[in-house]
Amino acid sequence: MSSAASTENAASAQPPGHGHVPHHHHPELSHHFEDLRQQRDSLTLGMWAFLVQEIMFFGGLFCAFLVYRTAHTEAFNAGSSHLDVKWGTINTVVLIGSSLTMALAVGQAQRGNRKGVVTWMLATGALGLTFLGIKAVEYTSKWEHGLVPGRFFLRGDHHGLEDILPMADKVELFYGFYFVMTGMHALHMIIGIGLMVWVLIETFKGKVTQNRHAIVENFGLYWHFVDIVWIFLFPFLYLLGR
Amino acid sequence: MAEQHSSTSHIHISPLWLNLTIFSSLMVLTALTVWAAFQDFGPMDFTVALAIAAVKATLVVLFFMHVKYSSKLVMLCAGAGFLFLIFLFAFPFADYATRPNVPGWPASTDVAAPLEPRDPEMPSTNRGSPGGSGGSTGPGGV
Repeated sequence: MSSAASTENAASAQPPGHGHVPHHHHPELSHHFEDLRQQRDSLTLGMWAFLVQEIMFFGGLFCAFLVYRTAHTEAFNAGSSHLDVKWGTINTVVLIGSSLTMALAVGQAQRGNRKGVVTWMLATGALGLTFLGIKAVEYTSKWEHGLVPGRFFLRGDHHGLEDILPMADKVELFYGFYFVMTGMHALHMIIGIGLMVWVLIETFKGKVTQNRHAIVENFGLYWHFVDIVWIFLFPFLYLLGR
Repeated sequence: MAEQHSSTSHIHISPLWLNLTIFSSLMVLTALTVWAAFQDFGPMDFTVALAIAAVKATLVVLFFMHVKYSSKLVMLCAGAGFLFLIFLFAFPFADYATRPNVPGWPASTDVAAPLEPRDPEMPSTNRGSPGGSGGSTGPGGV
Protein backbone atom coordinates (compact mmCIF):
# COMPACT_ATOMS: atom_id res chain seq x y z
CA MET A 1 0.00 0.00 0.00
CA SER A 2 2.71 2.50 0.96
CA SER A 3 4.53 2.21 -2.33
CA ALA A 4 1.29 2.65 -4.22
CA ALA A 5 0.46 5.68 -2.10
CA SER A 6 3.81 7.33 -2.70
CA THR A 7 3.47 7.08 -6.46
CA GLU A 8 0.01 8.61 -6.25
CA ASN A 9 1.43 11.49 -4.25
CA ALA A 10 3.56 12.55 -7.16
CA ALA A 11 0.58 12.46 -9.49
CA SER A 12 -1.88 14.42 -7.38
CA ALA A 13 -1.16 18.05 -6.70
CA GLN A 14 -0.61 18.77 -3.01
CA PRO A 15 -0.82 22.34 -1.75
CA PRO A 16 2.57 23.71 -0.66
CA GLY A 17 3.27 23.32 3.03
CA HIS A 18 0.72 20.54 3.36
CA GLY A 19 2.86 18.67 5.86
CA HIS A 20 3.15 21.67 8.16
CA VAL A 21 -0.57 22.35 8.40
CA PRO A 22 -2.09 19.09 9.61
CA HIS A 23 -5.72 20.24 9.62
CA HIS A 24 -5.55 21.91 6.26
CA HIS A 25 -6.85 18.94 4.34
CA HIS A 26 -9.71 18.36 1.98
CA PRO A 27 -13.06 18.11 3.81
CA GLU A 28 -13.96 14.92 1.92
CA LEU A 29 -10.63 13.27 2.73
CA SER A 30 -10.54 11.03 5.80
CA HIS A 31 -7.49 11.84 7.91
CA HIS A 32 -5.95 8.38 7.60
CA PHE A 33 -5.56 8.66 3.82
CA GLU A 34 -2.83 10.54 1.98
CA ASP A 35 -5.04 11.96 -0.73
CA LEU A 36 -8.36 11.48 -2.46
CA ARG A 37 -6.99 9.04 -4.97
CA GLN A 38 -5.49 6.77 -2.31
CA GLN A 39 -8.77 7.00 -0.41
CA ARG A 40 -10.76 5.96 -3.47
CA ASP A 41 -8.37 3.14 -4.44
CA SER A 42 -8.40 1.78 -0.87
CA LEU A 43 -12.21 1.72 -0.71
CA THR A 44 -12.35 -0.07 -4.07
CA LEU A 45 -9.68 -2.58 -3.00
CA GLY A 46 -11.55 -3.35 0.22
CA MET A 47 -14.72 -4.10 -1.74
CA TRP A 48 -12.82 -6.38 -4.10
CA ALA A 49 -11.34 -8.29 -1.17
CA PHE A 50 -14.93 -8.99 -0.09
CA LEU A 51 -15.98 -9.91 -3.63
CA VAL A 52 -13.08 -12.36 -3.96
CA GLN A 53 -14.40 -14.37 -1.03
CA GLU A 54 -17.85 -14.20 -2.64
CA ILE A 55 -16.29 -15.63 -5.82
CA MET A 56 -14.90 -18.53 -3.75
CA PHE A 57 -18.26 -19.05 -2.01
CA PHE A 58 -20.23 -19.37 -5.24
CA GLY A 59 -17.25 -21.17 -6.84
CA GLY A 60 -17.65 -23.98 -4.31
CA LEU A 61 -21.33 -24.36 -5.24
CA PHE A 62 -20.51 -24.39 -8.95
CA CYS A 63 -17.70 -26.91 -8.41
CA ALA A 64 -20.00 -29.30 -6.49
CA PHE A 65 -22.69 -28.89 -9.14
CA LEU A 66 -20.27 -29.73 -11.98
CA VAL A 67 -18.81 -32.73 -10.11
CA TYR A 68 -22.28 -34.25 -9.67
CA ARG A 69 -23.37 -33.23 -13.15
CA THR A 70 -20.40 -35.11 -14.61
CA ALA A 71 -21.39 -38.21 -12.64
CA HIS A 72 -25.12 -38.01 -13.47
CA THR A 73 -25.21 -36.09 -16.75
CA GLU A 74 -28.33 -37.77 -18.09
CA ALA A 75 -30.40 -37.13 -14.95
CA PHE A 76 -29.16 -33.53 -14.63
CA ASN A 77 -30.05 -32.88 -18.28
CA ALA A 78 -33.51 -34.37 -17.70
CA GLY A 79 -33.99 -32.16 -14.64
CA SER A 80 -32.77 -29.10 -16.53
CA SER A 81 -35.23 -29.76 -19.37
CA HIS A 82 -38.10 -29.10 -16.90
CA LEU A 83 -36.86 -25.57 -16.16
CA ASP A 84 -38.46 -22.79 -18.18
CA VAL A 85 -35.93 -21.32 -20.65
CA LYS A 86 -38.38 -18.48 -21.44
CA TRP A 87 -38.40 -17.19 -17.84
CA GLY A 88 -34.67 -17.82 -17.48
CA THR A 89 -33.90 -15.76 -20.59
CA ILE A 90 -36.26 -12.93 -19.57
CA ASN A 91 -34.61 -12.83 -16.14
CA THR A 92 -31.15 -12.70 -17.74
CA VAL A 93 -32.24 -9.68 -19.80
CA VAL A 94 -33.81 -8.05 -16.72
CA LEU A 95 -30.68 -8.56 -14.58
CA ILE A 96 -28.21 -7.39 -17.23
CA GLY A 97 -30.53 -4.41 -17.75
CA SER A 98 -30.25 -3.67 -14.03
CA SER A 99 -26.45 -3.78 -14.38
CA LEU A 100 -26.72 -1.15 -17.11
CA THR A 101 -28.85 1.16 -14.93
CA MET A 102 -26.44 0.56 -12.02
CA ALA A 103 -23.47 1.51 -14.23
CA LEU A 104 -25.38 4.70 -15.17
CA ALA A 105 -26.03 5.42 -11.46
CA VAL A 106 -22.30 5.13 -10.74
CA GLY A 107 -21.62 7.46 -13.67
CA GLN A 108 -23.96 10.04 -12.11
CA ALA A 109 -22.22 9.61 -8.74
CA GLN A 110 -18.85 10.28 -10.39
CA ARG A 111 -20.30 13.53 -11.71
CA GLY A 112 -21.67 14.40 -8.26
CA ASN A 113 -25.24 14.40 -9.57
CA ARG A 114 -27.26 13.00 -6.65
CA LYS A 115 -30.59 13.31 -8.50
CA GLY A 116 -29.23 11.12 -11.29
CA VAL A 117 -27.93 8.59 -8.75
CA VAL A 118 -31.37 8.29 -7.15
CA THR A 119 -33.15 7.97 -10.51
CA TRP A 120 -30.92 5.21 -11.88
CA MET A 121 -30.73 3.35 -8.58
CA LEU A 122 -34.53 3.29 -8.34
CA ALA A 123 -34.58 1.87 -11.88
CA THR A 124 -32.02 -0.74 -10.77
CA GLY A 125 -34.15 -1.63 -7.75
CA ALA A 126 -37.28 -1.96 -9.90
CA LEU A 127 -35.49 -4.36 -12.25
CA GLY A 128 -34.12 -6.30 -9.26
CA LEU A 129 -37.63 -6.70 -7.83
CA THR A 130 -38.86 -7.78 -11.28
CA PHE A 131 -36.19 -10.48 -11.28
CA LEU A 132 -37.26 -11.70 -7.83
CA GLY A 133 -40.93 -11.65 -8.88
CA ILE A 134 -40.19 -13.86 -11.89
CA LYS A 135 -38.12 -16.13 -9.65
CA ALA A 136 -41.14 -16.46 -7.33
CA VAL A 137 -43.34 -17.43 -10.31
CA GLU A 138 -40.80 -20.10 -11.27
CA TYR A 139 -40.49 -21.46 -7.71
CA THR A 140 -44.29 -21.65 -7.42
CA SER A 141 -44.48 -23.59 -10.67
CA LYS A 142 -41.79 -26.03 -9.47
CA TRP A 143 -43.74 -26.56 -6.23
CA GLU A 144 -46.96 -27.22 -8.13
CA HIS A 145 -45.22 -29.78 -10.35
CA GLY A 146 -43.72 -31.56 -7.33
CA LEU A 147 -40.14 -30.67 -8.23
CA VAL A 148 -39.11 -29.27 -4.85
CA PRO A 149 -36.64 -31.74 -3.25
CA GLY A 150 -37.58 -33.41 -0.01
CA ARG A 151 -40.60 -35.33 1.15
CA PHE A 152 -42.90 -33.65 -1.37
CA PHE A 153 -40.69 -34.46 -4.37
CA LEU A 154 -42.81 -35.95 -7.19
CA ARG A 155 -45.94 -35.83 -5.08
CA GLY A 156 -49.28 -35.97 -6.88
CA ASP A 157 -49.63 -37.14 -10.46
CA HIS A 158 -46.50 -37.36 -12.55
CA HIS A 159 -48.10 -35.91 -15.65
CA GLY A 160 -45.36 -34.64 -17.95
CA LEU A 161 -42.61 -35.94 -15.69
CA GLU A 162 -42.51 -39.53 -17.00
CA ASP A 163 -38.98 -39.04 -18.36
CA ILE A 164 -37.48 -38.38 -14.92
CA LEU A 165 -39.17 -41.20 -13.01
CA PRO A 166 -36.48 -43.86 -13.74
CA MET A 167 -33.77 -41.62 -12.24
CA ALA A 168 -35.88 -39.62 -9.80
CA ASP A 169 -33.31 -39.52 -6.99
CA LYS A 170 -30.61 -38.04 -9.25
CA VAL A 171 -33.09 -35.51 -10.69
CA GLU A 172 -33.98 -34.60 -7.11
CA LEU A 173 -30.27 -33.93 -6.59
CA PHE A 174 -30.33 -31.58 -9.60
CA TYR A 175 -33.26 -29.69 -8.11
CA GLY A 176 -31.42 -29.54 -4.79
CA PHE A 177 -28.60 -27.71 -6.57
CA TYR A 178 -31.13 -25.59 -8.48
CA PHE A 179 -32.85 -24.34 -5.32
CA VAL A 180 -29.65 -23.87 -3.29
CA MET A 181 -27.80 -22.01 -6.05
CA THR A 182 -30.68 -19.83 -7.28
CA GLY A 183 -31.78 -19.40 -3.64
CA MET A 184 -28.35 -18.13 -2.54
CA HIS A 185 -28.34 -15.88 -5.60
CA ALA A 186 -31.83 -14.56 -4.78
CA LEU A 187 -30.75 -14.00 -1.15
CA HIS A 188 -27.86 -11.88 -2.43
CA MET A 189 -30.34 -9.85 -4.47
CA ILE A 190 -32.65 -9.36 -1.47
CA ILE A 191 -29.66 -8.20 0.61
CA GLY A 192 -28.69 -5.98 -2.35
CA ILE A 193 -32.09 -4.30 -2.35
CA GLY A 194 -31.78 -3.75 1.41
CA LEU A 195 -28.35 -2.17 0.90
CA MET A 196 -29.80 -0.05 -1.88
CA VAL A 197 -32.30 1.52 0.53
CA TRP A 198 -29.38 2.46 2.78
CA VAL A 199 -27.35 3.91 -0.13
CA LEU A 200 -30.41 5.93 -1.24
CA ILE A 201 -30.83 7.34 2.28
CA GLU A 202 -27.16 8.35 2.39
CA THR A 203 -27.54 9.93 -1.06
CA PHE A 204 -30.59 11.92 0.11
CA LYS A 205 -28.53 13.13 3.08
CA GLY A 206 -26.05 14.59 0.59
CA LYS A 207 -23.23 12.19 1.50
CA VAL A 208 -22.52 11.35 -2.15
CA THR A 209 -20.26 13.88 -3.88
CA GLN A 210 -18.02 14.05 -6.90
CA ASN A 211 -14.98 13.32 -4.74
CA ARG A 212 -16.50 10.79 -2.38
CA HIS A 213 -18.99 8.33 -3.79
CA ALA A 214 -17.49 4.97 -2.85
CA ILE A 215 -20.80 3.95 -1.24
CA VAL A 216 -22.49 4.05 -4.66
CA GLU A 217 -19.50 2.64 -6.50
CA ASN A 218 -19.03 -0.30 -4.11
CA PHE A 219 -22.73 -1.06 -4.09
CA GLY A 220 -22.45 -1.12 -7.88
CA LEU A 221 -19.58 -3.62 -7.65
CA TYR A 222 -21.74 -5.87 -5.46
CA TRP A 223 -24.69 -5.61 -7.83
CA HIS A 224 -22.56 -6.41 -10.89
CA PHE A 225 -21.06 -9.39 -9.05
CA VAL A 226 -24.53 -10.81 -8.39
CA ASP A 227 -25.24 -10.29 -12.10
CA ILE A 228 -22.10 -12.30 -13.00
CA VAL A 229 -23.23 -15.20 -10.79
CA TRP A 230 -26.50 -15.30 -12.75
CA ILE A 231 -24.59 -15.13 -16.06
CA PHE A 232 -23.13 -18.55 -15.13
CA LEU A 233 -26.21 -19.97 -13.36
CA PHE A 234 -28.46 -19.38 -16.37
CA PRO A 235 -26.61 -21.55 -18.94
CA PHE A 236 -25.53 -24.23 -16.43
CA LEU A 237 -28.99 -24.77 -14.94
CA TYR A 238 -31.39 -23.87 -17.75
CA LEU A 239 -29.54 -24.49 -20.99
CA LEU A 240 -27.21 -27.50 -20.65
CA GLY A 241 -30.12 -29.92 -20.68
CA ARG A 242 -31.43 -28.76 -24.07
CA MET B 1 -8.10 24.50 -3.70
CA ALA B 2 -10.91 22.15 -4.52
CA GLU B 3 -9.66 21.86 -8.08
CA GLN B 4 -6.15 21.07 -6.86
CA HIS B 5 -7.37 18.33 -4.59
CA SER B 6 -10.06 17.06 -6.90
CA SER B 7 -9.21 13.68 -8.29
CA THR B 8 -11.76 14.08 -11.08
CA SER B 9 -8.98 14.06 -13.64
CA HIS B 10 -8.01 10.53 -12.51
CA ILE B 11 -11.54 9.16 -12.60
CA HIS B 12 -12.66 7.29 -15.65
CA ILE B 13 -16.31 8.11 -16.29
CA SER B 14 -17.70 5.68 -18.83
CA PRO B 15 -19.54 7.58 -21.56
CA LEU B 16 -23.12 6.57 -22.30
CA TRP B 17 -22.21 5.00 -25.64
CA LEU B 18 -19.72 2.66 -23.93
CA ASN B 19 -22.27 1.49 -21.34
CA LEU B 20 -24.85 0.94 -24.10
CA THR B 21 -22.30 -0.93 -26.24
CA ILE B 22 -21.43 -3.28 -23.36
CA PHE B 23 -25.14 -3.81 -22.61
CA SER B 24 -25.89 -4.54 -26.28
CA SER B 25 -22.97 -6.98 -26.47
CA LEU B 26 -24.27 -8.79 -23.38
CA MET B 27 -27.74 -9.01 -24.97
CA VAL B 28 -26.29 -10.42 -28.21
CA LEU B 29 -24.26 -12.98 -26.24
CA THR B 30 -27.36 -13.95 -24.23
CA ALA B 31 -29.25 -14.56 -27.49
CA LEU B 32 -26.25 -16.49 -28.80
CA THR B 33 -26.03 -18.79 -25.77
CA VAL B 34 -29.79 -19.53 -25.89
CA TRP B 35 -29.52 -20.26 -29.64
CA ALA B 36 -26.43 -22.45 -29.06
CA ALA B 37 -28.28 -24.41 -26.37
CA PHE B 38 -30.76 -25.66 -28.94
CA GLN B 39 -28.03 -26.71 -31.40
CA ASP B 40 -26.31 -30.04 -31.00
CA PHE B 41 -22.58 -29.57 -30.53
CA GLY B 42 -22.30 -32.93 -28.81
CA PRO B 43 -19.72 -32.86 -26.02
CA MET B 44 -18.89 -29.24 -26.95
CA ASP B 45 -22.26 -28.00 -25.63
CA PHE B 46 -20.78 -27.36 -22.21
CA THR B 47 -17.64 -25.70 -23.58
CA VAL B 48 -19.70 -23.34 -25.76
CA ALA B 49 -21.96 -22.36 -22.83
CA LEU B 50 -18.95 -21.83 -20.54
CA ALA B 51 -17.04 -19.80 -23.14
CA ILE B 52 -19.97 -17.44 -23.82
CA ALA B 53 -20.60 -16.97 -20.08
CA ALA B 54 -16.89 -16.27 -19.52
CA VAL B 55 -16.89 -13.58 -22.24
CA LYS B 56 -20.01 -11.98 -20.70
CA ALA B 57 -18.49 -12.03 -17.22
CA THR B 58 -15.26 -10.50 -18.55
CA LEU B 59 -17.19 -7.63 -20.16
CA VAL B 60 -19.02 -6.95 -16.88
CA VAL B 61 -15.81 -7.08 -14.81
CA LEU B 62 -13.74 -4.87 -17.13
CA PHE B 63 -16.31 -2.22 -18.05
CA PHE B 64 -19.29 -2.21 -15.65
CA MET B 65 -17.02 -2.91 -12.67
CA HIS B 66 -14.35 -0.53 -14.04
CA VAL B 67 -11.48 -2.98 -13.47
CA LYS B 68 -10.02 -1.86 -16.81
CA TYR B 69 -9.66 1.63 -15.30
CA SER B 70 -8.80 0.61 -11.72
CA SER B 71 -5.46 0.58 -9.94
CA LYS B 72 -3.05 -2.30 -10.56
CA LEU B 73 -3.66 -3.43 -6.98
CA VAL B 74 -7.38 -3.88 -7.69
CA MET B 75 -6.54 -5.75 -10.92
CA LEU B 76 -4.23 -8.02 -8.94
CA CYS B 77 -6.89 -8.64 -6.28
CA ALA B 78 -9.61 -9.43 -8.84
CA GLY B 79 -7.19 -11.53 -10.89
CA ALA B 80 -6.14 -13.48 -7.78
CA GLY B 81 -9.80 -14.24 -7.11
CA PHE B 82 -10.27 -15.80 -10.53
CA LEU B 83 -6.89 -17.58 -10.35
CA PHE B 84 -7.88 -19.27 -7.08
CA LEU B 85 -11.28 -20.07 -8.59
CA ILE B 86 -9.39 -22.06 -11.24
CA PHE B 87 -7.47 -23.87 -8.45
CA LEU B 88 -10.78 -24.56 -6.69
CA PHE B 89 -12.00 -26.37 -9.81
CA ALA B 90 -8.71 -27.93 -10.92
CA PHE B 91 -7.94 -29.94 -7.79
CA PRO B 92 -11.31 -31.66 -7.18
CA PHE B 93 -11.66 -32.35 -10.91
CA ALA B 94 -8.14 -33.78 -11.15
CA ASP B 95 -9.02 -35.94 -8.14
CA TYR B 96 -12.37 -37.26 -9.39
CA ALA B 97 -11.11 -37.70 -12.95
CA THR B 98 -8.24 -39.95 -11.86
CA ARG B 99 -10.04 -42.15 -9.32
CA PRO B 100 -10.85 -45.53 -10.80
CA ASN B 101 -14.16 -46.24 -9.09
CA VAL B 102 -16.25 -43.11 -9.48
CA PRO B 103 -19.05 -44.00 -11.92
CA GLY B 104 -19.68 -41.41 -14.59
CA TRP B 105 -16.12 -40.07 -14.56
CA PRO B 106 -13.63 -40.78 -17.34
CA ALA B 107 -11.40 -43.11 -15.31
CA SER B 108 -14.42 -45.11 -14.20
CA THR B 109 -13.94 -48.81 -14.93
CA ASP B 110 -15.29 -52.04 -13.61
CA VAL B 111 -12.64 -51.91 -10.91
CA ALA B 112 -15.38 -50.99 -8.46
CA ALA B 113 -17.56 -53.92 -9.40
CA PRO B 114 -15.71 -56.71 -7.56
CA LEU B 115 -15.15 -54.46 -4.58
CA GLU B 116 -18.71 -53.30 -4.18
CA PRO B 117 -21.51 -54.88 -6.18
CA ARG B 118 -24.22 -52.32 -6.65
CA ASP B 119 -27.72 -53.26 -5.60
CA PRO B 120 -30.23 -52.10 -8.20
CA GLU B 121 -33.04 -52.51 -5.69
CA MET B 122 -31.78 -49.73 -3.46
CA PRO B 123 -30.84 -46.75 -5.62
CA SER B 124 -31.81 -44.18 -3.01
CA THR B 125 -29.02 -45.21 -0.64
CA ASN B 126 -26.62 -43.81 -3.19
CA ARG B 127 -28.15 -40.39 -2.99
CA GLY B 128 -25.74 -37.59 -2.27
CA SER B 129 -22.61 -39.37 -3.39
CA PRO B 130 -21.22 -38.80 -6.86
CA GLY B 131 -19.55 -42.16 -6.64
CA GLY B 132 -22.89 -43.83 -6.13
CA SER B 133 -21.21 -45.81 -3.41
CA GLY B 134 -22.99 -45.06 -0.19
CA GLY B 135 -22.28 -46.30 3.28
CA SER B 136 -18.86 -47.37 4.45
CA THR B 137 -17.10 -46.75 1.17
CA GLY B 138 -17.08 -43.13 0.03
CA PRO B 139 -16.26 -42.10 -3.53
CA GLY B 140 -12.91 -43.53 -4.37
CA GLY B 141 -12.66 -45.52 -1.19
CA VAL B 142 -11.09 -48.96 -1.43
